[in-house]
Amino acid sequence: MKTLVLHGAKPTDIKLECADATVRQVALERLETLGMPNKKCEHLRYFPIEAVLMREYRLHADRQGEIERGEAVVIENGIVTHAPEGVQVSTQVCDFVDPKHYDPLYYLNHLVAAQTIRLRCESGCRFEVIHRITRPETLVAYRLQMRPEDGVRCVETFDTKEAPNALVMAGWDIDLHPGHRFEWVRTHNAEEGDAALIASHRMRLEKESGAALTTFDFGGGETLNLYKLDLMEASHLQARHLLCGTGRSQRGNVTRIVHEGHGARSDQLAKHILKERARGIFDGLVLVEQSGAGTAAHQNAHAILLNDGAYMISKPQLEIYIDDLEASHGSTTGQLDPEQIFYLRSRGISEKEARKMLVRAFAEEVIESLQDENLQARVTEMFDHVYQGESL
Amino acid sequence: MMMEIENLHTKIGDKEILKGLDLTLEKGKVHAVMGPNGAGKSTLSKAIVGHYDIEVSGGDIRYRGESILDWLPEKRALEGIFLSFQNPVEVPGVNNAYFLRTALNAKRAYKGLEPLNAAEFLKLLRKKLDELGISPDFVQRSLNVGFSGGEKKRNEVLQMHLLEPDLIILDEIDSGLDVDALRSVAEAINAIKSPERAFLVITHYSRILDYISPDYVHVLRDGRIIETGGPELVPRIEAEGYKIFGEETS
Repeated sequence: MKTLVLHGAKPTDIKLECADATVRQVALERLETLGMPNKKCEHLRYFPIEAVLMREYRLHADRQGEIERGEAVVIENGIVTHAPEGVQVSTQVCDFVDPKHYDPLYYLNHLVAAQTIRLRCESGCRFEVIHRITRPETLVAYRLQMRPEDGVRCVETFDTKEAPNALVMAGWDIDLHPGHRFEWVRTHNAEEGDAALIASHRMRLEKESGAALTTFDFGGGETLNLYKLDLMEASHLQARHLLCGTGRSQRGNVTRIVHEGHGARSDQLAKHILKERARGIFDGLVLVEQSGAGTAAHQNAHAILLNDGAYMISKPQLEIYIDDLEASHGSTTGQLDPEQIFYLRSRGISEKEARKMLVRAFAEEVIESLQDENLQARVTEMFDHVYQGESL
Repeated sequence: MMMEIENLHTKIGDKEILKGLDLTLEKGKVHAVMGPNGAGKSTLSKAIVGHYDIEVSGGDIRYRGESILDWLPEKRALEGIFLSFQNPVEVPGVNNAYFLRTALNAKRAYKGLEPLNAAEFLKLLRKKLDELGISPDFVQRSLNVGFSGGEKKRNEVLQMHLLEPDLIILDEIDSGLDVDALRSVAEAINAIKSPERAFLVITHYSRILDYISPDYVHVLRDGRIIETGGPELVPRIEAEGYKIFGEETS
């Protein structure tokens, strides 16, 4: 069985021949320019990227087979096994790459991805994508593509519990048609020792389109999601992130929101709850190009550290090349307010319960941004399970 | 006796605030503690409920004959001690109704009672809101967030009515209230007076005592109770100030 160590490899030595020739050429050129992913990349500095890429991973040469009817799109070890009615799935070699992505992991993912999974569905379709990884110590790499019709909602979940020491690289390329609305919800709940997840995405919002990206990232292990979100004229992005790290987890989001078009709006809120010795990373840049006059960009990041060993790296950034815009950003990191805890205790509520209430209240702003109450309940249950009250 | 405070010494950081305070609170009575700014009135209320800022460096607080100095704040509350805060803290994201139900069910559990489910609680809450003339919208908001001074105090009174404590400490309940709000809050407090319940009304103005008649008035200055008397002390203090009790020692 073939194995691969990504750290230290030269891009040209990675000869999996998964992407088509043009994509491979672009990916190689960009990796030549950006360098291979390592700690010298500013946005990867605080994530144990080298430790993750230094491991030796097995490679499996699975082939896409028949796709059965199911309730969700199920992708098992990179192979689509099920798809629901109304969602068309096709697979091919990687045939698209954004030549302007900032992240070398995006290009590395294109080089090593076994295939690209392309999803199509009708307007208003709501579906779920379940990523299931069952092979330990294996590199599972694929790309996903979608051009959502109007009113589509995609909810992603990850099941990585059966694959210790595996690495999943599974990023999206999404193009949103002019005027269309898209809701993208990502939930990832992992435990210490589960497969690591590194996913580098790109979404382009065409004129007057709108997307709501809501991510829930809970538990242990190593996870990094990197987004490049390109906003064209009068498009609108609402991004909400809730991260709850436990144990010795190292989890984070890197986002680049690029206001390319006139009058685009973005509103980003990232909340982090870190317990034990968890590390949280939020590296968010809002870039307003010269073409982005009349835009509005708001970004906020907040973190609560529940233990002395918890650690947050928060880097909200605005990079603006015009005067005509509305923009704000802010970041706070702290502990629970002792006066609030005391107030609840003075009414007979135990300290543990009081802290839980306050943490839940902190998280709820993101959970309640979901439109669907059933989905809210599901995420709340997942959050409660991971949080389980703070150890005192 | 509801509570006996004996030779209480407290510190905040290195500074001694209460310097041997003695005070006895009787069941069924309203005790007013009056004193100038900085006398230690709020420290006294915080010491009784176990606030983390206050270090008790000497003396004792006994509640129904038992020392409470080792009790956690929540145990003091569950045993029936309630402090209406001068400035109730805002708690964003915690729904007021959810908070009230959690507090009530904590108390019921402590007493060995079944918790109230959402419907049972709502019924009880509506009854209390009706009695107090509070709008139902009030409890759907985040706890104290964006509340006016009057709304915050009304929320404290609502909690009193739901939790039915035995010793109620009102710390400057009149601060930030206009005359109408003060009258309405005072009426709600008078409505829960009972022979089994004691009140400790902490104030530096006599205004609140026009609405909640005290049985005893205690004058607190420089960390000690320097005078105890009946309601007749109130007009004297109002007319002549605290200097009638002599000059301050520090």
